[in-house]
Amino acid sequence: MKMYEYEVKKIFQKEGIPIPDEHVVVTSDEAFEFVKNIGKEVVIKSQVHVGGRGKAGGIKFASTADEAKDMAKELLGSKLKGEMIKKLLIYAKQSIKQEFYIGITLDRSRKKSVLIFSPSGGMDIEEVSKKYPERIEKIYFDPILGFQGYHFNCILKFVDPNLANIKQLKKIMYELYKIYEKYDCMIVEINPLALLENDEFMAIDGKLQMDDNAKYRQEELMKYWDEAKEDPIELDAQRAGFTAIKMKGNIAVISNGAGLGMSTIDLLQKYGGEPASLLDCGAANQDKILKAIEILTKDQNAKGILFNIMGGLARCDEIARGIVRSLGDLPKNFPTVCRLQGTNVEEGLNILREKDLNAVDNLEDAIKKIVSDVNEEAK
Amino acid sequence: MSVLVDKNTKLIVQGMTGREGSFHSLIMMEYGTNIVAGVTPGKGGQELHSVPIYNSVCDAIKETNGNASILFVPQKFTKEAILEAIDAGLKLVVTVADGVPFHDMLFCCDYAKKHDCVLIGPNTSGLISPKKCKIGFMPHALYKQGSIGVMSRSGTLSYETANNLTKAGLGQSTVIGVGGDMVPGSTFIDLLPLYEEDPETEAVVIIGEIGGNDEEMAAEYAKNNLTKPIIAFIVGNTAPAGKTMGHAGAIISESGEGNAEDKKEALKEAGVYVAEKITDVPDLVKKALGR
Repeated sequence: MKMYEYEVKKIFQKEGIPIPDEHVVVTSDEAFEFVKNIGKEVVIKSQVHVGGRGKAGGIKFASTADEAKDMAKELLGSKLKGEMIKKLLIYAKQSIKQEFYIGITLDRSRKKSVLIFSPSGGMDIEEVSKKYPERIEKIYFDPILGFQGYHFNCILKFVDPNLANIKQLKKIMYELYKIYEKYDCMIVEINPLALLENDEFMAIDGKLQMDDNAKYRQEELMKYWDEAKEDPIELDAQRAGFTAIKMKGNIAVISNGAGLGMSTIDLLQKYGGEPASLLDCGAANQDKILKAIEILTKDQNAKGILFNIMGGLARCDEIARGIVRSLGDLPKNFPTVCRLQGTNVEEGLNILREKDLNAVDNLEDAIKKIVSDVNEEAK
Repeated sequence: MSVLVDKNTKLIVQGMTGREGSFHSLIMMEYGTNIVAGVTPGKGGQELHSVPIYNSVCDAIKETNGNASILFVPQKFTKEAILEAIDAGLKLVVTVADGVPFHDMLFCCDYAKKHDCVLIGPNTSGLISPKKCKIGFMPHALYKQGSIGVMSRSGTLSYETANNLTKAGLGQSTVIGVGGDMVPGSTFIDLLPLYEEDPETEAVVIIGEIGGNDEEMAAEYAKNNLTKPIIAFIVGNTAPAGKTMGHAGAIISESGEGNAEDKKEALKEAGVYVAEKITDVPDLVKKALGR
């Protein structure tokens, strides 16, 4: 789950990491009022989930309240890399001496959490690590020890140890690690972490992405979950207890298991078909299959449906009964092809064939059939 | 011989008295798995399917000499249950739960490693040595005893592969579901040496998918350390970047890391036989074995 910059910075502030005195606005009049009160040059930042906001024109500077109003008018409601801008974050421009990068994330290959620090902040960290690998320090954590004081010493080669507020930097590092653990972060980063003219450190921008598996114990972060940002089909599926992925094609695919689903759409595309969606139905009973079909066929782009079921825990006959029950509700001339294999396959195939449905036990045959049927209907 | 499990495996089922635990314990026992104990805190002294239930893994080991465990425990309690099993001295722990936060798994993986425990899962259907021992809930009728090792991140694709191998007359030594999560207890590279050492295994099939670099690491390891042939299949060729494809671990990063093409390239370069379709796997196995 991704969060907006202003939401992340609220968490930072709550956990003791300094942030600018900032304000979120949703109208240009609000922007005018806020900037008038500040009376200084301000930064106006579009609140979107896409990266590279600065380069795409999503961050602007205004010297007067009138200027801020005009800019807000221009930004609000416009699209940045395809994402609609609904909120702006505004704060007084800070006087910055130096910018650092600090982030903590998962290194999957080492199965360790890693803190990445760089004295070249404000840039894309992947770019820094490619161009200037010597300006990157990586600290791997033992999960039982967590962050220890000595970890800070590893970054002293990049920072003047005689800085007035060197202890503040250490505290920020420690707090960031605490946030990483407490909020089940996939990644949490401050970029840039600024050293201001007054020698204070401050988080100018923040990013936090939560592990979706931890939703059940992250009630506080779930308040920030923006349902409007989710695809309606994916959301419906999620509410019904499925995992679904919306894609751009015209064939809806229902499969049991994530791997089987992925291999189904791979093969579908190999034979010239394009998936509209992929839904993992797990070991569903007939009622749930009925629900899954209802969700995917609401999609206007879907012109046909393919089932690929490998019976294990899931029973082919049960799934076949669900498919048969949905027949009356399907749009007219809606090609349906089912591939069943595994537990109770014969019974399942018979149930479907009695209703004249295309039912086979070979996946490639099923895929060729759905692709040609959907193409035929499109003519 | 076989990998990790055989006729000498004495299984403890953590969470045995729950709905899933009870149901699958019975099926495992019917298959021939030697379940010696169940564990459910507060239900010690009871019996289920004629198996004694204990309050703790420690008690169960003391009374039954159990040497492996499977957890039918919800995501919320998975971390504690894994740690309990390792702390009690077990060297094989299988956890099937879906949706375990990866921070919990980082902790468990590290603890398992420090105690030489092999942790399988989470988000797996388990492992099976056909005719000897089944720890999990795969449809065992599809499997046949033999000499092909199989490892898979996806559960259903491991059934599919076993089914295809069996139909082609190729039995399996041990089939392991490593699980579809970001941080699996064991990855391909952890388990490959066990297959290499196992005299019963002649070749190993790897069913990988997009996300992470476990397949690349396995390729590198195979090139330098293995004598047995490896056959691989990778799913997720057509997955869009930045989308989690059902498995928490199946995600290509925005910068393209973890995509299927790179994985296949790395595997081919290491001399691994790479199947374009999952149904091609049995023929490639035969080719690799010169049959």
